[in-house]
Amino acid sequence: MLTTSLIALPLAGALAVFLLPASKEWVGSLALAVALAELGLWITGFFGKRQFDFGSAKIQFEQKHAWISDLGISYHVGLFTFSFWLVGLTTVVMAAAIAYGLWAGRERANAYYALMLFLTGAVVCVFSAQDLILFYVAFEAMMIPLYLLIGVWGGERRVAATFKFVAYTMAGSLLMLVTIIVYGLSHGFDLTTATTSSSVWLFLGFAIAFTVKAPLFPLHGWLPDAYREAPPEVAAVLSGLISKVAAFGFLRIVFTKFPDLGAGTPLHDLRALFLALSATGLIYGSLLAFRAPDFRGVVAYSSLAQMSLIGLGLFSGGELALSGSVLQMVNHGLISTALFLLAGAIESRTSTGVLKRLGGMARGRPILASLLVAIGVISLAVPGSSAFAGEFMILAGTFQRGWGWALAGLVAIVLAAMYMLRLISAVLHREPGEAVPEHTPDLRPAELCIVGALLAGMLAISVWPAGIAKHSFACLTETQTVSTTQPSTPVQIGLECVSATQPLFGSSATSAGVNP
Amino acid sequence: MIKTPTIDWLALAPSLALAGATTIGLLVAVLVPARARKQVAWFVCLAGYASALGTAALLFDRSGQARTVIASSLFRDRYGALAAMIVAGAGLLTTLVFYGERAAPDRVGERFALLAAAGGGMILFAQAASLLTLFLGLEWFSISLYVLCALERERPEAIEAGFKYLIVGGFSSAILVFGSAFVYGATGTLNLTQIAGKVASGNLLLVTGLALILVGFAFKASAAPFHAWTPDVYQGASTPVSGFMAGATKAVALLVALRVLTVSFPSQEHLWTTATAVLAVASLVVGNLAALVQRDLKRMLAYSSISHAGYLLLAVTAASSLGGRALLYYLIPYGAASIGAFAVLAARERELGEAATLDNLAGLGWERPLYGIALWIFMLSFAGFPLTGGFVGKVYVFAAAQQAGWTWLLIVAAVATVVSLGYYLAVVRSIYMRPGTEKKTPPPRERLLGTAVLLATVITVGSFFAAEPLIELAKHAAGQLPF
Amino acid sequence: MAAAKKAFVMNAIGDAAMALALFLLIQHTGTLEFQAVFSKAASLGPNTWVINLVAAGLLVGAIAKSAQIPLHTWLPDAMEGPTPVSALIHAATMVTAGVYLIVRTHPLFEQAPHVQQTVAGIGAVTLLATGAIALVQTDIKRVIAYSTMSQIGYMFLAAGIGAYSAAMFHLVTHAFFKALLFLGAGVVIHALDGEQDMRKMGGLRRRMPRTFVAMLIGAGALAGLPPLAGFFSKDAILATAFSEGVYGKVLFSAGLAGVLLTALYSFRLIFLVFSGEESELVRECLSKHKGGEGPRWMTAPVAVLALLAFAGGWLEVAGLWHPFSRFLEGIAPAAIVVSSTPAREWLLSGVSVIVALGGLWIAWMIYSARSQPAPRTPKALIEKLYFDRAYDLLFYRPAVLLAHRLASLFEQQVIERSVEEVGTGALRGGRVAAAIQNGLARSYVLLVAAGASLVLLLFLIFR
Repeated sequence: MLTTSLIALPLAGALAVFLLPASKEWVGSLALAVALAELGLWITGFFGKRQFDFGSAKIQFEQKHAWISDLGISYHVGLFTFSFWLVGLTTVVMAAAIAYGLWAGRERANAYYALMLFLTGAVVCVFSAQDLILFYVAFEAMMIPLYLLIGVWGGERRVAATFKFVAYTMAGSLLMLVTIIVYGLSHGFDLTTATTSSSVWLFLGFAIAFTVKAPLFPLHGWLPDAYREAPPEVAAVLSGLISKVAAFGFLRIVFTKFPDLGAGTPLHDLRALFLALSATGLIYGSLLAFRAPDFRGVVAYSSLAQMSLIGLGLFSGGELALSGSVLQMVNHGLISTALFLLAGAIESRTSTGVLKRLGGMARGRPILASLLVAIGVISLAVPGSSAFAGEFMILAGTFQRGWGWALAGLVAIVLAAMYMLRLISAVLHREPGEAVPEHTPDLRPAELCIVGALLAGMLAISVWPAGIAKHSFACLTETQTVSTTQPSTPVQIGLECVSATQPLFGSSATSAGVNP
Repeated sequence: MIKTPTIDWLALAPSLALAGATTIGLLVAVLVPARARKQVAWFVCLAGYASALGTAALLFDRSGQARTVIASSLFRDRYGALAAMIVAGAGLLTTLVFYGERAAPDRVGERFALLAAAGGGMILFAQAASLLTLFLGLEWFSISLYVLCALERERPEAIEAGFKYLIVGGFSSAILVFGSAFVYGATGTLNLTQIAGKVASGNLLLVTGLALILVGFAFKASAAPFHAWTPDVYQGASTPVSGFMAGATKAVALLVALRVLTVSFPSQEHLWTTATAVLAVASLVVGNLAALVQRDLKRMLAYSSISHAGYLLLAVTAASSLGGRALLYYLIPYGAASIGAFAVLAARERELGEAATLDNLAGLGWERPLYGIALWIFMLSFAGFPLTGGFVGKVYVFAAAQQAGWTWLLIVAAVATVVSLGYYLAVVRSIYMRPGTEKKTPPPRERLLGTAVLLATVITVGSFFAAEPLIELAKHAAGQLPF
Repeated sequence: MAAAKKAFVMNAIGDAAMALALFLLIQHTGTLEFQAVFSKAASLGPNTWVINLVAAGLLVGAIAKSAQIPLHTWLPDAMEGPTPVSALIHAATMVTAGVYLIVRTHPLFEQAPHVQQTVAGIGAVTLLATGAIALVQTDIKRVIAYSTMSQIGYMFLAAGIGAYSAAMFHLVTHAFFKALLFLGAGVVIHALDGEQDMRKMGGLRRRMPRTFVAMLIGAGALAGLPPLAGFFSKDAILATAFSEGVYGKVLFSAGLAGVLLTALYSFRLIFLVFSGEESELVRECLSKHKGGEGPRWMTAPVAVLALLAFAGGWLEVAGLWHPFSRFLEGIAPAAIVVSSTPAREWLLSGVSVIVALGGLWIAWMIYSARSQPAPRTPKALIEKLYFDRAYDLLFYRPAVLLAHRLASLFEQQVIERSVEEVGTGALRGGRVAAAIQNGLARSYVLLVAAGASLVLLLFLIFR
């Protein structure tokens, strides 16, 4: 029931918010209350009689209801351990985004908040869908509010940006729809019972759709414009949340339904291709972030790089890399949300994000400065930070797949330091830029609360990254080995895998890797 | 003493109800005083469609066993009954929209009578069990529509539309009749069920006849390359009529095509599936591409309806029970969205006094929230977005095509859908993302039109969530086709 | 801020290399637990590529963290902004983590002898180069910062020849006297209202006698003068190096040259700041602050540190007692404590003390007695041996250029244009498709006829 409640609450909230005849403050407050209630609802998953069991590999809070019986399609939702974390990320990010919207005083409040809440429900539905068509429904349902949120409340060039965004992602989506239908008719639409396939075409259909959505190099053509033109909180949701949907798709669909069973299976044959694309995207995104002329450009391309890193982890496979990917998904979700919200805070003060015109904002604005530095430093994966734990696990896992891929990741770590520090110094230090008025205020308490809460989340994960990393996959297949001599062992994620988990490394080793 | 066949009144009831409404409507147009004429004629039409819907539902319920009735000229089955329900529902919605349409005072009554007549013809067409009744029904509703298009003779476009529809439609009706003649020549019968298996499947006459009949249906369904009349007619006809043509004409044309092809020509399946596949591709390509460059919204929706003929032909191409169910299901949200979309355009036209274009639609979403959201939902449904019946329909149709092994067709349709976003989303962009011009007076309130739009929206969205009951209907109906 | 950037980037390079080493370890030993790694590393066999790569990765990490050549340029830059206290934390404590890393993981390095020799070599090069650069610095904190790098060079040298306890010993004594120097410099800077340029100082010994004594102890310990702390630890390193064959002799001579440099720059600092005539700035500032040496809470830690810098070296006296080495036996077995005879040990100590005194004498001649003109400083030293410029040319600029090229040629031309091209292509297609509608009923009829003929033809062919 919890899953359905998590989906239904924001949708019902959206309707209520849309119909509430009140000033934008009241409407926004109601929306925020719903978003916080959603967060609270998620937290109840930790407690109570029906507590989420992190040790279980089985699907939990499951619910199934026939929908299109003719094709064997049903409303089937439920949560695996890793999906539980992603749902949590959704509630946090959306609450932050809505709070920011409230603070920024978005006009046309009824529509705005209704769309935001609708989006929340759709994303939760994606993360909990256990039926391919339901997954697709939620996947596309996200596009509806996003299209309007960018197109109506976005920046100057929003119309072109939304068009590019929608056309690009819908091309990927429809490819996926075809794939789902072709796949579903022969293997079943229900993810928990669908049989595996070894068709290269079906694999590519899913993989390309998710590659567009993430986005991964080279299918990221929509990214820079969409991230620049969206309102900051929507850009935050895009990069913090929507990109994770694609990663989730890889985890839940691509890897479980197209397992690597040696030569002749697509995951085995094409793994190198996707690793290469991820590695390229990682370096490429980092380099472009380094020369991007504006705040959001840096964060946008760094997001491309981070998603490539996660892609690297996903396609490497293995417990270490996959757990690291989930951890990094949550990390990056929080980090990029916070960064985009800060970008919004800065833009609202200076009405520009162009780095050349910014500068010197640290002086007299200690809260802004310390938050930006803290989040920036976490994002460049300083040891001890949550992002470090995630990146380390991903790259350690990637290394076992092939040292060259990890090498790309290591180069990118250096580049990340370069672009993130460039960003920090361009905004905070140097002489005050021409766009920075002398008495530009520091962050307001509201902004501090929103970004500070996100930062607190990052710090909490930094303290205990194993909380997520070790509780993402209750059980991967036991045959998974570390050795490169057997790189092609199947990865079964959380499914049908009931026997006790056999930790890959001594528990001390993993914690050494995570908490050095 | 001439031996008269037994009349199955229930089977005839839906079309008779509308025929009656037509008769009364025409009398009303003459006898009722001018100030009440419009209201009374409208009410008669509404009542006609309502009783058609009711009797069709009853017919559906009472036709568990399919059979032919009245000297084997009509089918009494759930397939025909469901088609009648779709037509009657579309007519009902259209009647609501049609009420507020501006009309010359001397013709306010006639147009409702003609609308009822068109529906009656379509229902007869959908139930036809012989090529003769089929042609009768076809001409009945076609002529009604020709006149309906040209009725507003003060507008030159209306005359042009009616004229073109008449010429080209007459030509293609002739082709259909010609084809029927060939079939009769080959088999010696006009009865649909008896055509099958009469002669060898490769019989020259029969195949020629089949080709010509298929062209006739394709014309009514406005499938490319027989689509050329559609944009001109949709643009010229009064807007609610365009919606009715998109929602109902196309529906019956395709439903009857599927029935005739499967009932009468099962052994030529390899031929007609190839042809429908080719027509589907042509419609998808032409409709979607041409719609991209339109500014006039009625014209754009005309091209959109051409492209939907393509999607629907996918279901025909599947030539399976699943395809039949997909077709029946698809038509329900599609019809509702078509009529609803044209209704919103009608509202805008009445407000502005000029044809709705992408430019003058700007700001609609904020000025008139209901119409905005509704139009948005209709566009999403056309584009096959989730949370609308259009999505389930597309999945259904695609699944049917895939199950029949037409994977490449599926891919073409998916690509076409991506292209279609270009214009469907342009509408959403126009109504929400562009600032509207300042209007001094508040727009006129039209409760009937609003009700129709609301109903269409409810059907469009409801058919997504409550897909199962509709699929049940479709299952019963399609189960009576001989697969 | 540029400094902080540089620090982060260089450390990121180190982190990356170290991560690589850790990945290799995970892959080949399946664990990161020290003891388990060490026991399994032995089975990998000495001098295999894996162990060499692991050691090299750890080395690069240590180099970056400890600001050794070639990843050293961040440290002195990082000295500019912060207060002496943070400088102390940064430059005297944190940077020694690299040494600790090498000592802690020495079983791995011992399996990779070539890498271990490189450790020593890097230490020797660093101690010379940074010692030389320290000579020409005018900023008091920078001198101390460069001296830190130079002293860590000694520790690397020690770790590279297996003298782990000596390295750690030097690390400890270095912490005492380096902290003393930083805090002493802090007192001076505080007294002079934040002035850090030594050229503007002078004659402070009369005004700040206690600080002078403390700094003198610090400089003496740094230069390795007995019986101060630095003498004992540096001595242990040099003695071990001398007994290590030809390579050891080379390292020994580098270390000895380093002793000369150390004495030179440390007493250059003392003489410039404390001896000679009072400069204008000193007079101005100290007449303002009556107290001179600042509040007690500032001077008290200096006094404690001075005591430690004075006596800290007695923890371990070669040939007499070795509590320190014994303490470390657990992690760094005293493989080579001192293999030479006490006599040779004393001889070597004598040589190094003489060299140090020589340095002191030269410094006195130039900077205090001013009997010799200060030699013209070579441009290479002022440019810090061109490292910054080389990095700029070799890495930074190519990266920026590549980023710009990628952005303008690939991102805009291929990635973004492709979307637009597809869009315009579709529109073009749309115009063609819409052109069918020419508005003439006769062409519509013709189209229907043509279509019908086509279907008919199709059927007749395939029937």
